[in-house]
Amino acid sequence: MLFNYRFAGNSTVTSTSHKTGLSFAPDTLRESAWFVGKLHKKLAFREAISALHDVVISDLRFKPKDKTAYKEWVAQNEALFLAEYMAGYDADAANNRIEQLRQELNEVRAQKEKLLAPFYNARSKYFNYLYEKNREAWIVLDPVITIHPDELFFECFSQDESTYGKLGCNYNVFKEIDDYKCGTTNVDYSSALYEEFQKIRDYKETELKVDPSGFTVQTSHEEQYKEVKIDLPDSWVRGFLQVSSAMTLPTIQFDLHPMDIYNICLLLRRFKEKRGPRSLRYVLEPGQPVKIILEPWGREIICARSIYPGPTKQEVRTWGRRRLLIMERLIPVARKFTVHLLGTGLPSFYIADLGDMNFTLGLSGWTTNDWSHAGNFDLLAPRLQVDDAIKAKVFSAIQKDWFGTSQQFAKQLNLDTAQVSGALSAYTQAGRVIYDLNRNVYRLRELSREPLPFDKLRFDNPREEMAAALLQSQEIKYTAQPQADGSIQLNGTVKASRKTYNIQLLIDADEKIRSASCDCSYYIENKLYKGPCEHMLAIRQSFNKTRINEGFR
Amino acid sequence: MRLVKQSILYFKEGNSDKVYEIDLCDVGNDKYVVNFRYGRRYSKLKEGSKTPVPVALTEAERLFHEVENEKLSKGYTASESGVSSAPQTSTFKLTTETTIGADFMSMPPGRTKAILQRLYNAVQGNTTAYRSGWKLSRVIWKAGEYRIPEAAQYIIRLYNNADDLVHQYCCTWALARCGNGSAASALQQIFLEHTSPVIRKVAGAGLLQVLNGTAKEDHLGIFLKSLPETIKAAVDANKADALEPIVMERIKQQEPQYNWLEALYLIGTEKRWMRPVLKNLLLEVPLKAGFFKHIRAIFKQAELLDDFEFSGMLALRFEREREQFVHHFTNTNLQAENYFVQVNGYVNPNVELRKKNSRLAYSQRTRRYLRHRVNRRLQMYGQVNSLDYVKLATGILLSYKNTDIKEAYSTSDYKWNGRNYVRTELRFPQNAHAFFLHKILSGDHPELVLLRNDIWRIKTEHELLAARAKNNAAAGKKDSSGLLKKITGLFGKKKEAAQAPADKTADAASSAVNENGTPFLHLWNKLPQSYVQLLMEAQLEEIHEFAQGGLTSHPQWPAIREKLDKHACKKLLLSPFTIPAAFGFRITTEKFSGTQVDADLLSALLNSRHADARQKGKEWTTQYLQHYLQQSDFVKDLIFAADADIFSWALDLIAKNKPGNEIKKVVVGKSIAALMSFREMTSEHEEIINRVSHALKEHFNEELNEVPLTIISDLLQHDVPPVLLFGLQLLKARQPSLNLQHLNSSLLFGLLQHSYAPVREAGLTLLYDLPEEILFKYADEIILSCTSPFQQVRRGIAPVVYRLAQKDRTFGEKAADLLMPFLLRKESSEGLHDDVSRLLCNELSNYLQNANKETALNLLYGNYTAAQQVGIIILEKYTDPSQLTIPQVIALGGHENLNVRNWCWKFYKEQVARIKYEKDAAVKLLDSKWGDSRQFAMQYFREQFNADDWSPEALIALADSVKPDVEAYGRELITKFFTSENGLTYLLKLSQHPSENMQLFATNYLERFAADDVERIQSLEFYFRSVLTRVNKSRIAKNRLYQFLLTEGRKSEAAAKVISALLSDISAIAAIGDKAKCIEVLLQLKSLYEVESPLLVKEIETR
Repeated sequence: MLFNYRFAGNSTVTSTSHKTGLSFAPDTLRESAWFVGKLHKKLAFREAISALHDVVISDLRFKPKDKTAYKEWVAQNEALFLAEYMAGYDADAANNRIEQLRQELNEVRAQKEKLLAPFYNARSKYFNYLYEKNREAWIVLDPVITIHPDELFFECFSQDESTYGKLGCNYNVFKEIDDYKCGTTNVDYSSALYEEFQKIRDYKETELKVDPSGFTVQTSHEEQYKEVKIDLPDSWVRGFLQVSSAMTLPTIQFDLHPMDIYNICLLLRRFKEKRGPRSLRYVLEPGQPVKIILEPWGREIICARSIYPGPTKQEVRTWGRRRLLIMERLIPVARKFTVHLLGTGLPSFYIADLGDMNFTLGLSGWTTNDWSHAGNFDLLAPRLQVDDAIKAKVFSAIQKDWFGTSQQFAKQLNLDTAQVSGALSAYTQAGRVIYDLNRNVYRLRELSREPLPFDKLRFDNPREEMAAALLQSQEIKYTAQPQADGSIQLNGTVKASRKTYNIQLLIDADEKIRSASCDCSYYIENKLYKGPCEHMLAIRQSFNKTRINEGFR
Repeated sequence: MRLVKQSILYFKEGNSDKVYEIDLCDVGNDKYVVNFRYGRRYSKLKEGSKTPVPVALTEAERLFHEVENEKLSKGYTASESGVSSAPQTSTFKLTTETTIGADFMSMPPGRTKAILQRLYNAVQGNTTAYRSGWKLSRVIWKAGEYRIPEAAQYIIRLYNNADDLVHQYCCTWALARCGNGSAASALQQIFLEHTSPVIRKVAGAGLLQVLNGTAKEDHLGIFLKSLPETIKAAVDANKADALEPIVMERIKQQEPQYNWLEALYLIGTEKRWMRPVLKNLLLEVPLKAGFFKHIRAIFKQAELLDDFEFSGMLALRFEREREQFVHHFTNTNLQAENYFVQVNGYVNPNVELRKKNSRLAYSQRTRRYLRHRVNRRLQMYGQVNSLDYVKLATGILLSYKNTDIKEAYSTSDYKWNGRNYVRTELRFPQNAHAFFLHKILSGDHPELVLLRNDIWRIKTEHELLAARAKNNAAAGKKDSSGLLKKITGLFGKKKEAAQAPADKTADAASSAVNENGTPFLHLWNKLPQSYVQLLMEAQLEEIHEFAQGGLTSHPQWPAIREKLDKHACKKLLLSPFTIPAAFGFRITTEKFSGTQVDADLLSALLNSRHADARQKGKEWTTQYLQHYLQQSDFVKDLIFAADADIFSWALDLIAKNKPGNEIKKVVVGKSIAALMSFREMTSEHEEIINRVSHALKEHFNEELNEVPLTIISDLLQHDVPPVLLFGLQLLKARQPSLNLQHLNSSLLFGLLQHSYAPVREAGLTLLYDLPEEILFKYADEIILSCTSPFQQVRRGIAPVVYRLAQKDRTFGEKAADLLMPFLLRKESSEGLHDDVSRLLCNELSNYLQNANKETALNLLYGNYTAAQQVGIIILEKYTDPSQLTIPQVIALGGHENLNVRNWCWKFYKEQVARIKYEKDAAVKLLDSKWGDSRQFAMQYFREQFNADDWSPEALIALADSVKPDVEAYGRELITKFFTSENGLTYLLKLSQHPSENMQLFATNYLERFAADDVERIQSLEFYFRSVLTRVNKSRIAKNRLYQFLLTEGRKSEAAAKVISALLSDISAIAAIGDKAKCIEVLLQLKSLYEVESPLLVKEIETR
């Protein structure tokens, strides 16, 4: 999906020993929104915005080590190794010959190096140049700033498509608010900006400015406008929408003391997991301290100062726990962390209470959202069918008020609350509204200038769509057998329109599909190389549903 | 005006859909007018009147009918369908009468007599004399084929015998071929009145044969008139040069119809100068729909007119060029459809081909038919022993191009011989697909076999053995050993044949038998001049071999040789092919040995591609050297020798023997004329011209100096670059004595844009030699040349620019101003930026003062390295440092170009006072993203700044940097310039730093400046929390803090409260050491003061 921006210059920070001016260059193609104010809670803001930066650059996907250079070297020297190994057998003549050849080879290589040296130098110079000149290219999507009558918030989504961050600041954070106009805009963001954030101090005046008129002081003669075209993968946008629509679902909620987060981070920093399951298991018993178990080490953290207030006993496992390290910088400034869990393998949210600010960290079920983990495509399924007239009404109301609960809107519009919340959650899925977990209100926030093509984004591939259809209409039967190593064997049948398919699925302790088989043609043709077939997806989805209904026990 | 009568006529044919309205109107006073309107139906019609002044009714009616009839006769109809109802079958009646005789009776019995007898019988109405199915039209056709003049009278009488078009077509065709003056009137009538355009065309072509004198001129005039205006003008002007481009252009642009092609051909048969143009044209015309019907018509006309050259050429095109489309529908199938690329859709080819503007043409059937037709005609000629066979065959053979050559090849196959599979190799001769070539040259050869009327194959040994056995059985012994060897040698390996042509010819000469299997060899021998023609003009080696063999083994060879004169020898010698050249050499030596040959023959010898011939030429030249050197043409030819060896030898000769001045003058004149006659540039031409101009300069220098200026200027206008270059060299040689002021600027700078590099070079040297005052006149052009697309010019012009700039400052400045913007744009040709930048940096570096600070910065921040170079020069030479603000200088310090950064450092070094004055801004250089700039800045500030120059704020600002090296530098300076009165500031400010190192550094100031002060401890709470909650980091700082908190907490209750509140939070930590410390501190504080803590002392269970 292609996003076009036209920023009014670059975002800049002017920092002297007395004053720091943060001026964000917004997207001039969008309806203008501006804000000018001076920061009051400077250090807290600094830490929070740094955490946000960590979200932007976070990329925890597995990157295999690049061994090509080594392999090339081995290939070059293989003959030598062999010769060395064989050296014992042969007479000195052979050794001499080897030595001679080696010398010749060295000469040739030296010659080659010499000849190619200018090329290598030029190439490395070029790469260095690119590194210096074009570092911004590494940041995926510039953050979104939304200005609302009660607060200002920044949102961003990580490079690895799994982490969502939102920093909300109510207006107590600012000392003097000169002027603002509500709205949403993207701002130009660069790593140089992050460095400048680090210079925010208590004793310096810090001015925050989102200014569509652009920054006029020009020292380095750059273009007046910066046109940026970002080609975001569809999966990125889908991930963003999935996480934000997950916020509207009912959650298991409890508070954690800042030091509990510290303790999680401590264990994660101190140990390294070399085998699965790599999950974080929350054991929640009513009236008891929250217990966190880090698998596979089995280390327990008993959060003595955080008592679980819920009515029933729960046990929830979440994955991708290294993403929690993003919150490290928030520990000294946070009062408490509120955790919202949706269920095992589903997104989770951590809200840091920073007084007048709040920081929401949304995590998708896994760091890598590939097919081997459960497809969360039902997150974007319509929750309640609401007709378009009501939707339009609700949307115009939220456009007027900027934010509000569904009850408020229902009262205002004389509509059923369920219908209003259905309409609002539909808009959330389309990226036009977000649900603010902190204050439990819906807020107007248009993710992009043009509405997103929601129909295209709902499913990752056609098979997910077929699986959704199967789930709705067809009969699915299965039996689940837990295995000795913690994995689950699913055997079942899916009755499709013409034929009944037999499916076996083996899901390991990390909820990853280990092996699978089906007797449909798609599986016979592709095995698992192109991902699971629709029948596997359907059976897995229906299994997950019953588990959620039974509370994962 | 009242309408009296109106007639509306329609015409519809193909895309044409026209209407013609005629009105007869009464204008009063018994006067009438006839008006008409015409144009495409339903569109706006054009109007006109047949009566300029009103006329009487009778006159008006006459006019009305006249117009109406004229239009009706042209195919207009009164019915709205627009299709003329005139019957398509012929209603034509020939009215010419002839008297017939029966003088054939006295002829000897034979083919001709039989035909005439039948015709006579037919005229008499007696058809029963012969019982055969031979149709009358076929008899007539045969009469035409054999050109029986006596038949004409019968044909005229028989013309009206049948109404069908085929009969009349045959009659017309036969009449055109057999007819003489007597048939002219009949043909005229057919041409003018016949309803079928096809038959009219035949008659028209036939009239060209039959008519002569003014009648023929008049007849040609009809064709001439039908030509399009532009072509007609060119034909009238009798200029082949003018005609060729026009017609070629019209062929390239798709026109709706090409009727003029046929007319042009017919005119060409009379106007011989048009033949080469027509030949080229017809070779170019694609065999595609739209063109093909005309090609076919021309082919038929050439056949009719016995134009063997064109027949042969077109026949060969049908042999060589593949069909446009293939279809296999039967002729009656009008339903089925197939996809055709030409149509881009599905059509039935039979239906499509019948349309007037068919999009399909030249199918495989057409191609096969036409080839077959030519072959049939050839065989027919051969069988009736007509010399036309040789003529047509020669026409075909001459049309083979040397680009058509295809090497001999072989395929292999496995065949079951009853016991096992045996590999059989099928060998194909060279040019196996050249149907006519082999058919004519060796069609009767026993070892060649024609496959599928398409490919010639060499028979396998099995086949040969079988055939031989049969032959032996039938006709006894015929020695054929070595025949196989012979033929494989002939067709298999081209190189061998080329190496040993002499052997071949000797062989061929010794055996007069027809060993190649050439059909109708006796006919060939009757016309030995065709051999000579083939030798001179054909382009394939096989044909040359055949012709040479035929000629040398000809019974009257000595007589023929005598007839070959000097011109023939010359032509053969100069042939670009090996065999004719060798043959020419052989004849020349045989004929002219020992005599003093003419100079032109000698130069032909010297220019021959045959090495021996050239050697012979040298010998003969030296024999009568003085005689030849007196002949200016010969000397000129020597200089123009195509062979480099001959040329150098000739130069030696000239140098040694010094021809007389008069001769020299004439030679120079003739050489220049010869140079001027070069029309196109090829690599050989280029070489020759270069050699010639070199030789002329070397040996004819004085004479060259006398060449008049007008001729030089003609040379300068010449299209071929080396000739132009020669003119330039002449001009340059003359320069000292010449005033070049009159040189045209467009000419001079046209030279610089010339596509031929040496010309540009010469143009540049001309510029170098021009005096400044002239050059100043061309200032603009010179500056423009600096951005020329040619690197040679851009670099070459630099010295000129430098010279001018030295002379006149304003020129230099103007040049700099005009060139600078080129650096900011994308370069139009590769290397332009570099060259312009080099020019500005070197030659013009003293003239850049008009460039201000903005230009310099623009250049520096431009995207091109070349521009940055110039920017640096401007910065260094012309920019006053005081013009730049410190942020601008710092920005330059972060520039990617090292020279720019160097400049920035130099600025710092030179402007110490200003840096100190603006130090708050100036320290920002330490934040530069370039490591070397930072290094420089650290060194600089270490050396230049002392304690007085640093304020605590500035130092803290330094330490605030996120770059670790700068941060460390900040710490270093703070430690160096620390004064205790600022200690508190340092503590408070540095403690807010986010980095661990800084936090650790701040612990140093804790005890001195925060001890004993509760408020201060309170204000540092964030610092304490931040350090203590560092995950897995900052052990030293943490320990120091615990220590500090413990000591401070013990001091006062207020402090203890603050500290215990802090540590209560931290104590939830899971790290055991830290937890223990927290508990310890909390316990101590609790024991001293009333403080709240989360600690719960559990009683030890007593048992």
